[in-house]
Amino acid sequence: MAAKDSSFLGSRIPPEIESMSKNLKDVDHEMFRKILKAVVSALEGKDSREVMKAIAESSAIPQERLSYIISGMYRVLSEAIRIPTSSLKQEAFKEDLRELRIPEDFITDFSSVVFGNRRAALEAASSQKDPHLPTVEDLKWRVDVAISTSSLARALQPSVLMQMKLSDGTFHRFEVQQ
Amino acid sequence: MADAEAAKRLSGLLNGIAQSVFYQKSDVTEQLLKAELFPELPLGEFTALHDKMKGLLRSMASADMDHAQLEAFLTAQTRKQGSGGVSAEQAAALSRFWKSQRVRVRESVLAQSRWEPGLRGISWRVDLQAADSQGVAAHSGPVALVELEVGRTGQDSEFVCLEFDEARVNRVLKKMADIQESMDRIIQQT
Repeated sequence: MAAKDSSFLGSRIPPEIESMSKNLKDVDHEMFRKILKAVVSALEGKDSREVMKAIAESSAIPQERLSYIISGMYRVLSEAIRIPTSSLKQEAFKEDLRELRIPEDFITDFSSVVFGNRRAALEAASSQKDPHLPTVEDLKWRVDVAISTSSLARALQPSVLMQMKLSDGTFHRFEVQQ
Repeated sequence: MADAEAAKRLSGLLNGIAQSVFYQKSDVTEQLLKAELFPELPLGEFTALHDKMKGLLRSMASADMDHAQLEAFLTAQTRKQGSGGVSAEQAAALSRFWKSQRVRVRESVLAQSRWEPGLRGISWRVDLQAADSQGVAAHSGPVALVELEVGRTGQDSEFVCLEFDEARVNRVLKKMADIQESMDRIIQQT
């Protein structure tokens, strides 16, 4: 065995990738490409449930085996994307997949996703999944001057009323005094 | 001697009324004030005194009277005939009370007209993201973490934690500038 650093997947291959490589021999290239397209779509943050359902229904592969294949492919791509291209080169990536005995055609397809022009979109989508605090999506304001109140004939107090809409859907309304 | 005692009791009454009417202390009741300050006074007479003082304090608060206005007001009250009028001692007590409590009463009364939660404080910090579970975050910039302290009068604060990237900070600052401009215009007009 050539002296080589451990795979980009780490010293222990994740179980779903092991299962995937065992099951990929039953998948023809056309089917593989269909699944790959759906997995990439999911990684980009799009809702791929309908597509996945259609694939499952049109395929002869049993549901359970198909789910190993899909989760394995998802894992291969997400693990590869998180490593910057300065650290993981295309040839090393391909070598690592060859060691898993993944067919060469499939390796080429994986590689074109990880090192092709769709990579930027995948990286952007994955940064959305980091832990984040809510952000302010919209901020509306109003300046009020209280002219009088039930207890004060001449108040003449300016105040600012603000309403924030947050990225988690909540609203916060509050007054700001001088 | 009797005058000093009477003055003390009147002051006590005015402070007690203020506690309940302006400072929202619901445990200072009319009954309590009578028992503490005017136990020997017939109930009807105490009620009349209490209500008269309360009415006068309310008028003073409503107009936020300055020294000149207060003098004129109290003089007019002492000149009133019959039971509607105010004695010299009472006028003196009202004057003493207002000199020390005017600002606090106004603040309290203004606070009572605010029904939305108020912004009590802001804390912030700027972070630089080094890494996250999705990989080395080479493409993310500095992030501002902001904590807003918000609460209604008399209630505990709620803390709202937010994050902002540079673009969002600039958007908020622009809005603040618009608000400042709007307020400056209003101040100039009044």
